[in-house]
Amino acid sequence: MTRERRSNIVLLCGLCIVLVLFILFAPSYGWKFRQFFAASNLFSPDDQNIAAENEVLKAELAQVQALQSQLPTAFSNDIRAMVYSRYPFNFKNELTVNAGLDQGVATGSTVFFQGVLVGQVQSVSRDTAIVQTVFDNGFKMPVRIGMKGYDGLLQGSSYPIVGSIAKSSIVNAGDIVYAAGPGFPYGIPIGEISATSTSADSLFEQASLNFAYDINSIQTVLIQKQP
Amino acid sequence: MMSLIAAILILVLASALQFWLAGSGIFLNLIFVTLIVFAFFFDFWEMAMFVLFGVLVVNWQPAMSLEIFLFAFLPLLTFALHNVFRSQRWATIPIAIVCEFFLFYVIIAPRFLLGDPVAFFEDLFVSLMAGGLVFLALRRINK
Repeated sequence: MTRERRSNIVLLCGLCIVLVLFILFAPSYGWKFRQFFAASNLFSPDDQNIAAENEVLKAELAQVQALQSQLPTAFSNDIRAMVYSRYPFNFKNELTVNAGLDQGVATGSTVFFQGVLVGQVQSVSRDTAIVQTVFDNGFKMPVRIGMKGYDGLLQGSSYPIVGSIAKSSIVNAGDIVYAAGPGFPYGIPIGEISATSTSADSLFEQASLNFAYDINSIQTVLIQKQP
Repeated sequence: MMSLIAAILILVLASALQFWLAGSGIFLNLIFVTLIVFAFFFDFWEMAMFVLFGVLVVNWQPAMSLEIFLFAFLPLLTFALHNVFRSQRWATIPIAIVCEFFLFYVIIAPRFLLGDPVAFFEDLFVSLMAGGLVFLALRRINK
């Protein structure tokens, strides 16, 4: 082995050790690297805020008209968290946020953006949490649609759909879809119906959704504190 | 040394492109395919450094996961096996890419592969193209 080759190996070993230390003790540098290269937002923050606010108002209106006795409670002690990182492959849709057990986050906590449901905390460590979003293939929850509160089942995917809508339901584009599942505060808006169609088995209606935010560009979320 | 610097630049470029596209909702495995091609050109310590860099930038949580384990292990497995076919790199690199992508998908999310095979083939097609470009670049540099 030549002297130059030996010194190269020593240098590479040193670099490997530095990288291992970063992976184990300072993974946030990797996340910062990713954020640096992430595309600029397709939606501007203002657009997202206005769209989210609009959905919240629509959901409130739908509940006032259809479910007067079950108005949602306001969330006063939510935890604001920054989105550190995102699941890098196309199998899941998860966010890593910078709040964990120390900040009062618990598994199952509801996560939202400007009052619109984003997902649910799936696992928690001391100071970070993993959030399963409504865009994850494994995400499913009962929902209600529009002023009449028609029942449906939200199925997460890159393009989430609401399925199992009774054929007698009158669902139109623009109707608000809000949460009605166990473990979620009742009435949190999720999105708006963009189009409807008949399911593959022709037994139900199904609907695609428009969202008030771009999941790939949101930088902060609110996590509902567990009582 | 020249090829090492070029490889670092290629890996950073692949990372930048992967994360830029992910920000628009397009998920490709450009870093993974780059590491697979690198396995045919570099020695163990160089590969170890590239793989660790990949793990640092791809890992999305402060813990190990099956995805990250495979992301690191499969290129190193390619490295361990590449000497068998070294003389026919132009043919073995695409075969290695196809096999490792298939393994990656089957082990992590077999239901995803069955449920959305188009996404798998899109990812594979783009990765084969990207792998071809990396191969050509490294072959030119090593001449």
